[in-house]
Amino acid sequence: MRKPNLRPVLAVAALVLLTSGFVLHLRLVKSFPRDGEVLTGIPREIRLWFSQKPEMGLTAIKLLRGDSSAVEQGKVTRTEDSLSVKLPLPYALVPGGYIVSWRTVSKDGHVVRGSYPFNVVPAPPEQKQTGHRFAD
Amino acid sequence: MELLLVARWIGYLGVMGLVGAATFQAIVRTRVVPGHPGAGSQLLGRVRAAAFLAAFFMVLSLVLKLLGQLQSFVEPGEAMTRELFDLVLFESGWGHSWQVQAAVAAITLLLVLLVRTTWLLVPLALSAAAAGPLTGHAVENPWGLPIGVSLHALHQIGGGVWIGTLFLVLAAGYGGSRGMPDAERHPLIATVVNAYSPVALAGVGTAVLAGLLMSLGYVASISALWTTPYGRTLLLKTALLTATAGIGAYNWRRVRPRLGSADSSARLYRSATLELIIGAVLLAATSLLVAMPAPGLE
Repeated sequence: MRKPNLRPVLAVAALVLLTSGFVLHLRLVKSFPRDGEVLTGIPREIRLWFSQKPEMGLTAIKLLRGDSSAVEQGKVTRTEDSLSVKLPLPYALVPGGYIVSWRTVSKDGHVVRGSYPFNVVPAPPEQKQTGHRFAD
Repeated sequence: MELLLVARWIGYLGVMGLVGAATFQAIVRTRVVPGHPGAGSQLLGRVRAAAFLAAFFMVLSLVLKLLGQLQSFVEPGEAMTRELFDLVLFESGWGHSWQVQAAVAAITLLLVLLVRTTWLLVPLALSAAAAGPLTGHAVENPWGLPIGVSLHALHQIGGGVWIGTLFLVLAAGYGGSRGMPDAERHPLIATVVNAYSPVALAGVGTAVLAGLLMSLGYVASISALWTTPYGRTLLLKTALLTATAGIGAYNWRRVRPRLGSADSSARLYRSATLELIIGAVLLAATSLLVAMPAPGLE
C-alpha cells in the first residue's frame, strides 16, 4: 500500500503559519498638529486620523501643557471623514509646549493609545495672526 | 494585556474542548455503543463531564476578558468608573459581541448541566466556534465580517476536532475505560483511536485550509519573521505546530497500527499526552500573537 505523501500538507501548513496571525491593528496615521510641529498660529482644534474607523464613545483626547496639567477642552467628535476625530479648543493656546495624549479602540476591541508633543510659538510681528483650524 | 492573553487562552481551551466533546460523542455513538452499550455509556458520561469543564472554561474566559478589556482603558492611577463600564459593555461593538459570547457560553453551561443528550453538544460547539471570533480580528477581515468570522470559526473547529477530540480520547477513552478488564479495554481503545484518526486528519486539513485563506487577506513581510518580536513569536508557533503535527503523525503511522495491547495503549497515551501539552502551549502562543501588531503595518 502506498504511503500517503505528507510533504504537500506540511508545505501548506508552513505557508499558513508563515502568514497567519498577522493582525491589522488600528493606528494613528496623521494628526494636526503633527508630532513635534512648531506652530506660529493658534490651533482651534486637534485632529487625529486613524487607519480604521475608531469607536467614538471610547475615543479620548487630552491636551496637556508641558507641566502635564490639562488644558480646558471641548468634547471629541467625528468629522466628515469617518476615519478622523477632532477635539475643539475653546480658548486660544498660549505659547509653550503641549502634549496630545489620545486613546481609542478598534472594532475588534483592541485599545490603542499614544501621545506626541507640539509647540506654539509667538508669531513674528510682521505676520498677521490667524487662527489655524487644521492643516490638510 | 496579560489578563486578556490568559482569558484568550482559556477561551481557546474551552471552545476546542467543547468541539472535541461534540466530535468524540459522535465517535462513541457510532463506533462503540452499537457493540458495547455499557462501555459506550461510561464513555459518554465522561464526555458530559468534559463538556461541562469546557463550558466552564468558556464562562471563566469571558469574565476575565471583560475585566481585561476594562483594565485596558484605565490609565495608571485612575479608577474604573460606571460610565466607562457602560460604554465598554453596552455602547461599543466589542461589548455587543461580548454579550453574544456570554449568552452562548451561559446557555452552553446550562444545557450541558441539565440535558443528558450528548448530540446537543454539536450545535453548542458550532455556536461557540462562531461566537468566539466576534471580539477578535475576524470582524476586520478585508473580505468582510461574515467571511472573516466563518474562516476563524472553521479554523477553531478544525483545531478542536484535532486537539480537542484527542483530549477526549485520553480523558474519556482511556479514563472512561479504567476498571474494565484488559481484554475489553484495550480493543476498545483501539476502536476509539482508529475512529479518531481520520477525523483528526480532517480537522488538521480544515484548520490549515481555513488558516491559509485567512492569511491571504493580510500582508506579511518575510524578513520581519526574524527581526521583530512578533515574527519570532510566530516562528515559535510554527515550531510548536510542527512538533504537534509531527507527534500526531508518529502516533498515526507508528503507534496506532499496533494498538490492542496494554503496552501499545500505554505508549499511545504517553505520546498523545505530549502532543496535547505542546498543543496547549501552541494555543498560548496564538493568544500572544493575536494581541501583537503586525510588524509590516506599524
